[in-house]
Amino acid sequence: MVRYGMAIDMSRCMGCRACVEACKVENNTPMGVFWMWLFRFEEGTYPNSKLRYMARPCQHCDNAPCVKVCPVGARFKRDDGLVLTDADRCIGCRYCEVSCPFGVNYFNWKEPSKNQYFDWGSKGLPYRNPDHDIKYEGRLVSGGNHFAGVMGKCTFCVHRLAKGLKPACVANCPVGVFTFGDLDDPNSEVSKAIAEKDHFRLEEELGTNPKVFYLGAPLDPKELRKPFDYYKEELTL
Amino acid sequence: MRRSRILLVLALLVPIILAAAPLTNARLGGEGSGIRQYDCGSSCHVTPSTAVVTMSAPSLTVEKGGSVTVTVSVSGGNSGPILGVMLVASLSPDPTSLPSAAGWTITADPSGSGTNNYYEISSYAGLVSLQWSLTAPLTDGNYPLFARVHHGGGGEAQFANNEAGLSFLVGTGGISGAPVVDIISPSDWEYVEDVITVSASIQSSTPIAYALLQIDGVVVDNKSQEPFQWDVNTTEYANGELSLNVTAYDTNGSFGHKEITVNVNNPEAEKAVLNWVWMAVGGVAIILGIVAVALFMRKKPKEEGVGEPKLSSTERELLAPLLNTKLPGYALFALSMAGMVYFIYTWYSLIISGHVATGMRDYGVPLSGTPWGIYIVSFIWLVGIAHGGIIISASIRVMKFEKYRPVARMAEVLTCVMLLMAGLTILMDLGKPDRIDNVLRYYWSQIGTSPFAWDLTVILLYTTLSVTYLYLLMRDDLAYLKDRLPKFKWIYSILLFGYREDEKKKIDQISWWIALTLLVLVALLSGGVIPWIFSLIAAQAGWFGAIQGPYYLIAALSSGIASVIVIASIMRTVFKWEKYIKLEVFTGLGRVLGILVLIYLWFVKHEQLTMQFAAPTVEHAISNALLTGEYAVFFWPIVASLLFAFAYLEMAGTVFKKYSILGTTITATIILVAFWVKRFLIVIPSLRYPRLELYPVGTYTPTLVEYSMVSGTIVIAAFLFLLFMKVFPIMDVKEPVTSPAEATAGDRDQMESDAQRTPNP
Repeated sequence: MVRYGMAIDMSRCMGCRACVEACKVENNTPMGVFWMWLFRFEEGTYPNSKLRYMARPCQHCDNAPCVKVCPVGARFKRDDGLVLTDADRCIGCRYCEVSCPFGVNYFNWKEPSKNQYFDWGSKGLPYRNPDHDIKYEGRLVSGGNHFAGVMGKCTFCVHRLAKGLKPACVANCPVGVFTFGDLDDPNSEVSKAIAEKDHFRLEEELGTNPKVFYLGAPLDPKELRKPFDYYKEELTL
Repeated sequence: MRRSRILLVLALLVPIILAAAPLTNARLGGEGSGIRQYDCGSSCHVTPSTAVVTMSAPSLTVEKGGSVTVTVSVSGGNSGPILGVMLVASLSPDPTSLPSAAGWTITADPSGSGTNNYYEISSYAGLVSLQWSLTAPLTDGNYPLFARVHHGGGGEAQFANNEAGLSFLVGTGGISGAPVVDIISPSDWEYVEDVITVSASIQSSTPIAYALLQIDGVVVDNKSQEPFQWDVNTTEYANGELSLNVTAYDTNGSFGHKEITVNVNNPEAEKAVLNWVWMAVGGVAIILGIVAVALFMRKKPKEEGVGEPKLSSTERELLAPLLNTKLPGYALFALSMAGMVYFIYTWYSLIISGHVATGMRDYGVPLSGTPWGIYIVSFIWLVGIAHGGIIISASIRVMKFEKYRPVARMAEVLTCVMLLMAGLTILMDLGKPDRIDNVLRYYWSQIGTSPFAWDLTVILLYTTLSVTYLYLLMRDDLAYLKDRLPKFKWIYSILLFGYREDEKKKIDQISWWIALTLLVLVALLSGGVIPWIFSLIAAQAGWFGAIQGPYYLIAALSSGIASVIVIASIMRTVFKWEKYIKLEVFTGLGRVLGILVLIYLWFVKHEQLTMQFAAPTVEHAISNALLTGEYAVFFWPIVASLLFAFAYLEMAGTVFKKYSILGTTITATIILVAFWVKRFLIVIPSLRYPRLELYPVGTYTPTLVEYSMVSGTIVIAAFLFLLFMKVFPIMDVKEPVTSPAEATAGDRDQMESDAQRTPNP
């Protein structure tokens, strides 16, 4: 069984937010909902300061607190490591959101009527990716954030993984910040990326075992100038 | 004679055999090929069931008599043996399926030299592509072609998994001079709603005879003149795909057509939310309303008939709420009914709009809110009061605090009502309250890890026990009053099913054990499950830690005792029960309350010290917000009022000579308010200050909807309490058995306590 994980190379990121945009388009998330977010922060103090960027998808923790506290099992972890929300089962208590140290949950405070860039008006969603209507492993987990009163969050693009494609953020990054794949396979892209560089995980001390690794070591400038083959959308495991 | 019979039989048989001949060999529906091997049995041909047959042609539109090339590809199946492929015009395995029967002419078959519709290859390698060239029929119309794979061995059925085949449109569209139709609006795959205008442009060299509009294959209208426009009301069709087809005929009989698909996307008619939640809420409201109206509309009982037992004057005083209702009573009822109606309306509008109507938002980016708000604050507060209420009642029973007995039932009713309201508050907070049954449905999978599920379990258990406890202890009174209060006889009779004169002793034993269970549960629930909802969440700074258990328990007990004091004091004044609810009830409860409040402050000190001293930065920030930041205006007044409450409650009656019940009541009210605000300071600041400090500090301002609904639960609680008082005795009324000699020896203790508890008139 694969165990999906992601590595995010902060030294490569230039803060273009293509991942944020790709996620919103792919998952049709409404306004105010950012399953992928990009932090922009300053490191150090003037004059020795540097602008850094950090992408934040759901961390898909191995020991996910949100899965533990869910009273109905709507938030669950699949065998392949994805932490998903069953929109058909969620009762909207928001306990998962409260228990998540990473703030990746987005509740549907109302029927979605607007996305970030386009007002849908009273008609509702003008276009919905039909892949989101498919039940994966028998549960309505893809898409989400389209039904008032239930929780939604990053799914690692479960609908794309089903087709053998990488998550939208990974596939759309122009500078190859993301690597994605099977953490249990030492030869997978992501395992190699993690093995090659210094890395950390968010709030590791809370024991949630996030499956998103941040690679922080600075790159050799020559390495950075190499063209990056970003067109490879298919997932290789 | 015989010969003529044989001839007759032969004459009949020959055509039958001739007609059946194509069915008896391998060419079912096909014409022959040069390489036939019919007799090899099933093993020599490809096992076709796993083969995949596909067909293609460069264009599906051909002129009459035009030439067509059809490519048939077969893949899969076991490779090696012989494969037979045929091209047919229909799926029925008889000679009418030959393409020639449908008007096609085969000009070349895959062999290149023949014109057969059947072709056999002797060695199939798992993938083959064959080509036929045909000439189209000479009349307009749709002409399908199918490819079939044949199994060997004579009469076996043909096989193909390409049922669709290819459908050729012969004539129309392909002929010069036929009308050319285009649908200008709407565009293909457009999302449409309400009434749309379908407009088509038709170009033709000959005059147009008429144009048809078909929707989903049904002719809706025809027009013979410009403009070729139709208004279509899409609300008459189901949401989803809808095909629109415009076909134009010219005076020569040639026609052209255009078909598009649109997505009908009409907003769903706003459905009344008539799920079980509303039915339940409506049902309860209606029942309560009817009961209330029935009680008030009832005529005052006539003088009881001769011989019926009468109430003593003491009992009349104790039953004052049942016997007469004055104007303030009606006013309270009307007010609380109005409040309930407003509550239901607010809840309805909240469900229609979604929780956007509250001040709660996602924490973190970009909304910077708090996912929980004053619903949760109020929930903890209500549960706290419920615990305090039941702990008073249970202690009175278990530890035989006889002087407090008059307030015992008030405390029990308070507990039941507050628990119901706590459950209601959780329902209000849910985004999908109609799915609350999921908690039970998936109970066993989540009970191991979800504090929410633990909470539900204990609250249900607790409600059941409290109601049972209240009910059991009331049975004796109900039996006594059944004949003395004729207007309630029907309710009491229903509630007294299975009543026996001698059940008192057993009931007392049962309720003693229930009381003990409740005492244990209070420690478990208020000292356990409710704080665990918070204290186990490592993600929220300020919640995580072991202090929450005792901290919450003390708060629960304090607010419970405070509310019993307030209610007892109001009852005492309104119904002039000074001689039944004695002063010592207040002094005693007040003392305990004062000490509890002090213990609470002691816990506050521990908590704040820990958060201030070398704590993680977020904890530090939360503590700062409380002590010196924006919450200081709430925090310090709470500390001050709790200190004041301690001082006043302990000094009243000792330092101050004159004990004032009013003073105690006001202090208790202050404590109740202070604890509500303190709960706010527990829930909200932690959610506002995210553990991941890249996030901004959030904001939370409760909206009118939230305030309305939270006060709505208080109003409903008041209504239920009033309703209880109007139907059941809120004080124990039954006088003790007068002669101890009539009772058994084992009852004597009980007698004595009964004697103590019922005041002598």
